[in-house]
Amino acid sequence: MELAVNPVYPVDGQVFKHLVHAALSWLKTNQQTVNALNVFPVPDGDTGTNMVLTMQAACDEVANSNEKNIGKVAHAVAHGALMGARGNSGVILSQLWRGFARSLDKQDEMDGQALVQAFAAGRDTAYKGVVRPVEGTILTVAKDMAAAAERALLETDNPYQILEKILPDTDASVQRTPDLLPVLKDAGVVDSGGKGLYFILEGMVRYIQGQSLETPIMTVQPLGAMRLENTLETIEPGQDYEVVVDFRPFAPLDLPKLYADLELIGTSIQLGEGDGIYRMHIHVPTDRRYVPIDYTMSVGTVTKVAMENLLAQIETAAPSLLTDKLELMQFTPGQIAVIVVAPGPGIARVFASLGVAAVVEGGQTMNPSTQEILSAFKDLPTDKVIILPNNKNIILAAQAAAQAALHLGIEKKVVILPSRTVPQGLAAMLRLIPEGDLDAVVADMQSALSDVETGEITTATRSVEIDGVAVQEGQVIALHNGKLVLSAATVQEATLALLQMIDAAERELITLFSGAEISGPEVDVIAAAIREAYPSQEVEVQYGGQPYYPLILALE
Amino acid sequence: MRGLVSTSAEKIAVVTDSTADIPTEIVQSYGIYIVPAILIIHGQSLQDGADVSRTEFYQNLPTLRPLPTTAAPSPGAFQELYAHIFAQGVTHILSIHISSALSGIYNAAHLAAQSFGSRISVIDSGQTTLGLGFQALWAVEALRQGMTLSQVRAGLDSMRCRVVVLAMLDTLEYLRRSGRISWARASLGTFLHIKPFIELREGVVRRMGEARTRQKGIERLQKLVEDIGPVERLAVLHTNAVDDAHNFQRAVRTLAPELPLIANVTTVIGAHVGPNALGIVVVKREA
Repeated sequence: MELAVNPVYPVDGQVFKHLVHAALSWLKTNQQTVNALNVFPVPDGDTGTNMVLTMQAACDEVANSNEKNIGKVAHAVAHGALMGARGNSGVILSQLWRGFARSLDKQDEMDGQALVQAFAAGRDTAYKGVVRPVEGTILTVAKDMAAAAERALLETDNPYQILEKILPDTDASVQRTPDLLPVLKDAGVVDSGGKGLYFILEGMVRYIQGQSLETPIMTVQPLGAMRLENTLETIEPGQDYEVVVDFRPFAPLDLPKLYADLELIGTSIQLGEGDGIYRMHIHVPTDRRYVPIDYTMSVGTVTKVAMENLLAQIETAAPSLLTDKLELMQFTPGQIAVIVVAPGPGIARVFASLGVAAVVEGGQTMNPSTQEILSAFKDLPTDKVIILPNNKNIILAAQAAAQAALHLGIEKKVVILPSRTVPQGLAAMLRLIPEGDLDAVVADMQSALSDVETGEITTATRSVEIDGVAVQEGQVIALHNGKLVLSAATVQEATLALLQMIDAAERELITLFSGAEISGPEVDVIAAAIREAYPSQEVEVQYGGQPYYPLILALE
Repeated sequence: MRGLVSTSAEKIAVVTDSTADIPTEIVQSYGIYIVPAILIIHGQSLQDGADVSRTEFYQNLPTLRPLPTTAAPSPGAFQELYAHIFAQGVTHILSIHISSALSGIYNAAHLAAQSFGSRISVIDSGQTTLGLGFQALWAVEALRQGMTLSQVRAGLDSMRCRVVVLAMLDTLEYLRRSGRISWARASLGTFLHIKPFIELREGVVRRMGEARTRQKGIERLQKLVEDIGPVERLAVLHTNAVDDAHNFQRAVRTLAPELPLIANVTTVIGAHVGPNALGIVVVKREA
């Protein structure tokens, strides 16, 4: 765009039109950046897209106008924004323009004083337009912008200089939004609407300074800035492999197409560039781990490939994962809190994803103490607690913890739901209605214990004959709902025999939880054998991380 | 925009939005005005109901990238419609909409109504799909029976807490990506096979447990409905799960006085819950 700003001011309608258009161009350029911030539950779509559509409608309204009167142009802009407003940020933006335009009513031109008054009027109208104004949003940024403009006016009456001067203050205001809105802080982002407003202002300033408005978006980062060290807890379900490919493109990359293609392949996509070499990072399911490499070969010469099994990484990180990195559901006071005992980090993760309030480490050989169970729930801000021991040897300790709570005068109703296996505990957990009536929820969870058949595969620690099944020390054995049913030479053999014995063909879903001592490839082989034997059943493999039991099976 | 004015002495028109999922023939016979919500696919704004076929939308949704997003109609669109309605001799408008906790539609209507003074009552239904639709229909029925505007408003106030939407989603993925429900955002579903249950009641979306398989899930949905108690109205909701919806209609028909309506849910909600969901709207009988 050619520079249309005349260094003289006041601003007339035509210059204002160009400023608004510059704001739209720069916002469009940074649309994806704003969209990427849209991570908390503010209604209606991607903020960047919504604000662009709103600004687009505002610009369309004046695109062919030769009007010199700024009041008239501003009113047209405000009208367009109002008609085209999309989403909450768009609506607030349209209200900012509405107040701004009203303030310029009947004015031919705008000096610094008028600009500052228009900012204030925009702020006031926007606050009034929202049913429940929330601080830490675009509203706050608009407010800080107006205040900064008032300060700037003390130094200059040049409206262009005022716009330039308030840019850093506006940026600072955007950066402060997480301090005002906890949901932003939790998500680690600034407010998207506020950021969009910043780009609108920055677009005007860039135009004034004669800078480009069409710089491509920074979706390619410098190689050094790529953060590839993995935050294990962010692995998405099923995206077990991390693939990193270095390549030299055949031709300049079509970034939007590249991103669109990669999004169909996997998740956690990052792209970096340095010295003409691009590095692509992606998470994919195990069976698609070669797809990103094949794809990259279609756009460039691949120079280096790195692949890692993220589940194996979890395995090595296991001890800390259970205690430190477990992301528990946000627990609201007064809800029913469920405490589970989990024998492995993977199983703890699954329970966490279903909304448990606390996980106590323990299982077959390491039964948690009464104290450990008590500590898990005694300080929770609720008086309704359900404990899932998930092991017959832990039920008593759980009952003791409930008794101890009673003696300590902890006024909570504690119910032990006697789940005897992990699959039973999971089946019960699925029925949790956190806000429900405790007795009704307990009854429902109790009835769920019989929804699932449990299989456990382990190794006999001594030679013995139980329930007519003779086993030798070191042999693989299978348990059905806690009862020894067969022995076999290998884990695979035992698993298939057990599935046959409990009529897996009559079930819909077979879930395998792999233990700490079995390798990923071994589990894959067994899962493949199961899929072959039971083609109409769904088979799902989860990393459980439990000791001593290479596999725990749930049949539903 | 089609629609008829209701026949009460005050000359009141009822306006709602397309997320109400009221079948077209009922919209016409009740004379309700509908403001379409907006669906954005590949940067293009489409009008819910008019520009998009629901069947086709849900078929394409799993592979659509970027995922479609939704938007409220602009305050300007509401302003135009309101002005158009008043131009036909209507004295008051009752504009009832999708929960303000779920969408900006209510806020847009509220803003537009400000320029018309007290002639427009904008109401937050705390609901969507036929949970909203049933409230709009009741308002028309009440007006036709001669209730005054303030009586209807009071009636809606007492009805709101009796309306519940329950649904089993086929996956948590769409709800999580939509970012609107904080607990869905937090709970990165670890299971691949998981059918989350949700409940919408007075604007709040709650987690109602999960099922691992669809069959068990449908059985559970039925039980949840039966547990609610005596029912005034029912509607079966789905996102392209036609067969399940018809089976479910048969399973629950004895619970309600009339045959439950079936709705393939508005794309604007469907974009956030994903295809193959099954749900139900329950209006409880007054105690």
